[in-house]
Amino acid sequence: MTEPLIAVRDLIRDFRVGGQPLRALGGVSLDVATGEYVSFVGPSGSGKSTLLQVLGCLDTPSSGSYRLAGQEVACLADEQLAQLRNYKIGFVFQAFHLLPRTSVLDNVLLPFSYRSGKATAHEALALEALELTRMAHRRAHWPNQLSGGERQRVAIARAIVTRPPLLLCDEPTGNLDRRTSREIIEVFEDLCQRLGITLVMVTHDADVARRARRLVRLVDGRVVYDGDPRGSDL
Amino acid sequence: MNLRRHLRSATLALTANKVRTALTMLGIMIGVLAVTLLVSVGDGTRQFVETSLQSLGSNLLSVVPGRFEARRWGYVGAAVEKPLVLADVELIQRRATLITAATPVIFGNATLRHEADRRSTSVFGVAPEFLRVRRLRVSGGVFFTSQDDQAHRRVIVLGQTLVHSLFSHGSPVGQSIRVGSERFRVLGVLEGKGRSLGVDLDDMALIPTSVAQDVFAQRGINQILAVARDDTRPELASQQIESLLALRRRGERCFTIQTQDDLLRTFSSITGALSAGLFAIATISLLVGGVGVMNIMLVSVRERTREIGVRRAVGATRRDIMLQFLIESLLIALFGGGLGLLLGVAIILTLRGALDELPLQLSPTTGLLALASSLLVGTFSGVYPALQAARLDPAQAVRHE
Repeated sequence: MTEPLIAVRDLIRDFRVGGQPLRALGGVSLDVATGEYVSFVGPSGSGKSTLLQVLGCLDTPSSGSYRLAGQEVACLADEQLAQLRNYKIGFVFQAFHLLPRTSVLDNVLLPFSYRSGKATAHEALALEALELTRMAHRRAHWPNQLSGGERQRVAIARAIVTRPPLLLCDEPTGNLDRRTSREIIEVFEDLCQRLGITLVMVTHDADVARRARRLVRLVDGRVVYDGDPRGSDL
Repeated sequence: MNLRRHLRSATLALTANKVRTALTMLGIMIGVLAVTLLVSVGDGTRQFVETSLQSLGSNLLSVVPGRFEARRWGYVGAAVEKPLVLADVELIQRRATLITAATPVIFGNATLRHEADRRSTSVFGVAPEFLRVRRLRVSGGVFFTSQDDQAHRRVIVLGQTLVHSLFSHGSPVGQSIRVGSERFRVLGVLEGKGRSLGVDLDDMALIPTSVAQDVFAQRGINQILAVARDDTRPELASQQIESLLALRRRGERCFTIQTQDDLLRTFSSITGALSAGLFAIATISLLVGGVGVMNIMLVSVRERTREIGVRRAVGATRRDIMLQFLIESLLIALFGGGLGLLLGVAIILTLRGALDELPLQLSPTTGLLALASSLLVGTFSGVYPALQAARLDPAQAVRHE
């Protein structure tokens, strides 16, 4: 049996807020196979964003085990975590997080700033990513010249430009209207199908969550449901 | 991440905020401009003093009454003073074999009048050898002789400035002028020496020593100037004069002999101190610029917290983030410093073109010093903000509103 892309066991993440201890994740265990499309849902403060950040190697768990593509990441150093994020993970955020006064193309090229290689080859990959999200014609524009939906398409292009196996999205449709949300989700689904990317998405939107093939519900830092979206009460 | 990408990244970030970048550069620019100008003034002054002293000839010796000790900041003298007398000069002229010429100098101020024109000036009582000792030339008429001196003749030789102020038309040679209340005949006119550092070298009049003693009512002389032979070292000539004068004073050394090297050393220490002082002032303005850069970089780190988070999310290490901010502050400092240096050079060249007597010196050292100091300021002001940026928690930074 092949090892899942994500294998999390008894993950605990504690914080101190105003001097008081706070347990954001209270022993989460789950596996995500390569090519899966998973939604994380739950009320505010349920720990879904914290879990996404641990999975994205932006945060490290207080205890427990997290294996990404067969590699234990809980004990990696800063440089190794950065390399893992660069090669294995793509991020898409709710507020797009594009660099202001920087062209669309330069925004998409950002992950290549942190690895070696030929600039021309990188540019070709960036243009290809923009073609996939249908934003190549806007490559010379600045983010403030784009609509919300267009900005998110650029952010998706940046996330997939290095062809990572894992795409992590934190409420990617939270700042978009219904029609644009649907379009963006279709872009995600299309990319996952074409590129075989594993998609993990945190969302508040029931319609978006329902489109995933698997739904994980978190409450108070614990997984309370993990299965078919149709079986969950959204 | 390689250096080229870091540079590109930093350039993109700096050009994204052009006005802020320009204003920050301004602080460094002013600092480096100050360094360039003040170092140039310091160097120029030192070079001017050295050139002026060297133009007198490296074998010129000066004997003054009183005992002075050379110290770091100049000469410190004793209060007890026995005057030099004409017999000392005669002794040197007669017995000092390492000397080619010697002249007494008596100086004072007097008002010179010719018809309705008058001018207050420095009047020197000297021997005819003064011309040779000070490398002066007579451009019109003649210089007085030792016979004029012995006969106490009221004769005078004028510098060019006096000629222009007292004789607006016609040659002064042979004409009569008043020095104080006494009437003098103009024997000759000195060749122009020009101005230097605001001092008019032609604003002086020369009269025979004996006449100066009468006019200024003093027997003693203020200074003896002598020229050592070309084939000897000035220190040897100085030792010879010292032993001759000491012998006449029964071993008491109540006089001081300065060679050009002594003077050069003293002036060098003074101009060196001046340069150091000016550099200190320039450093303060550079530090103020550096604090400005640090302030802006700290604001920039705060403003760009989310950008830092995004960069970390796409693969930047702490070191990458630190280098990016450090390179940004170095670029600001280098560009600001480069502009300051260019502006400084332009100002110096313009000023030198307009007023050639200004002691402004341009040297490669000035440029190197300016650029090195801006690099230092860039590093100093960039390290702390860069460390702040690198220490940000990526998970929190990416959520920053």
